[in-house]
Amino acid sequence: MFWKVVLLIWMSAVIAAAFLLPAPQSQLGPASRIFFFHVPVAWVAVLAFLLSFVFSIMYLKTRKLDYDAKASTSSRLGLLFVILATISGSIFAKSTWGSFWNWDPRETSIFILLLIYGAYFALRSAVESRERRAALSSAYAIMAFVAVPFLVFVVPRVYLSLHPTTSVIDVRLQMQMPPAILITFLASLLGFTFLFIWMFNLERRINILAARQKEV
Amino acid sequence: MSSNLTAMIVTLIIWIGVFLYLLRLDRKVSRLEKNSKHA
Amino acid sequence: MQIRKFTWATKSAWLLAKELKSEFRTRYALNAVFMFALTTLAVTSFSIGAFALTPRIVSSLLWLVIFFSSLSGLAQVFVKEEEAKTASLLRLVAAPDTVFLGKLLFNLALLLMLELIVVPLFMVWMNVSILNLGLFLSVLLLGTLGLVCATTILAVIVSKARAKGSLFAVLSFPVLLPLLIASIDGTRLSLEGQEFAAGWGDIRLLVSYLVVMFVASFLLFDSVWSE
Repeated sequence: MFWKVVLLIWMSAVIAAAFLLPAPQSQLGPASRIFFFHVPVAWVAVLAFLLSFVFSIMYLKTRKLDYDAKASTSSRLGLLFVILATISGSIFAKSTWGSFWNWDPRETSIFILLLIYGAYFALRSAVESRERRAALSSAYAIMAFVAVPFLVFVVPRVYLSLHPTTSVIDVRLQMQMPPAILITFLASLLGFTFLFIWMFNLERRINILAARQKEV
Repeated sequence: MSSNLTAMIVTLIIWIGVFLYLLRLDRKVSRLEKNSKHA
Repeated sequence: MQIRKFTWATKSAWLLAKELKSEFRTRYALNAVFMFALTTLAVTSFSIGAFALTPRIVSSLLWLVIFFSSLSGLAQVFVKEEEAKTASLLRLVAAPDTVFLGKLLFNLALLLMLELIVVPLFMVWMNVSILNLGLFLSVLLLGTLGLVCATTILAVIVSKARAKGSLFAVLSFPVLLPLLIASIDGTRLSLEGQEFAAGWGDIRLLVSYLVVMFVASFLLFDSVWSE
């Protein structure tokens, strides 16, 4: 209970700081504040994907259905965060560069992640037997995860040579942020990670309860 | 009130709303867990 | 140890031969793939007409045709088995590794045969001249290899699910995207007549993709196949 209250206060403070501090990128204006939300959310989405990958491997190794439940929970939350990241990024793009979607490297990668999650759940819904569903979706999660690094390194290589770099990447790589901004950003990152952990745990407990119910 | 301030207040309200929702879920789940342990 | 290796390789070859023979008898996958490719090609060429296309567009179209044609045909390899109920027999007779290699090589043969016909046709219909043939062929070959490596395991996965027609495409696209991007880019460079060195980045990517996908599929195949 205690740390939930901490989370509440923590994120409230982050929100306050995000709006009250001077805007991160003065050239981009007030819309750049979305950076405090958009980047951590995207990071959590990737983290969720990584967890899915790990849980999938663990399932294939141990064949314990619990791991598959964890993998699908992680993916479900990952899907939520990816959608949030895509929408927030797109809003930012609209207000800064005038168009909702540009197919720049970051946008493309996040879109691919969205497709992967979608494919993962499409696959899960197409299999009825629990064990088979777990095995097939684990295999897919692993294949998809293995393909992603190529995207992260390929897409920039190809597209950067054709299109001008958007400054989102610069904002991201700018490690010389004024300390207040950096601290707020890291705090936001931590806060969203804990939010993810809380939601993950909640869904886990619900799944366990549902499983127990089925046995009764 | 500046638009910045309104944006901040709106965001805070949304966050508190989400938080309370999750807290409610958490409490329900805890109650269910306790019940099924006793049953 | 040496004897085991010998049996393992010949078993794959035997499987490949069996696949080719049974395919030759029915020509099911072959027909599906060829007709699809031909139709797509014809429609594309017709709708574009006399309009001059840039190399970039041409290379994108080529790989689109290859991509969708392969989707229409490659899943057959496993779906056929499940439908004919011969899958369990196969599982008993051959080790997963051999099955994987046999099916993979069959898919490769199928796709290469397809490209042998479709690619020249494509070039003729689209009125395109390949200025750097070496680069073009390298990209084509590596891209095809990569495609087959990645899709074989996905084909098994799909064959064990309630195979909705679109599932294979939905699963394949994110995984194949790096391959498609690199192949399209490399093909474009070859059509533009740039030297081999310019395409080196794409080639490198295709090779590493190929290796990674092969290894991953190989390791995963057993878990999926024995479900």
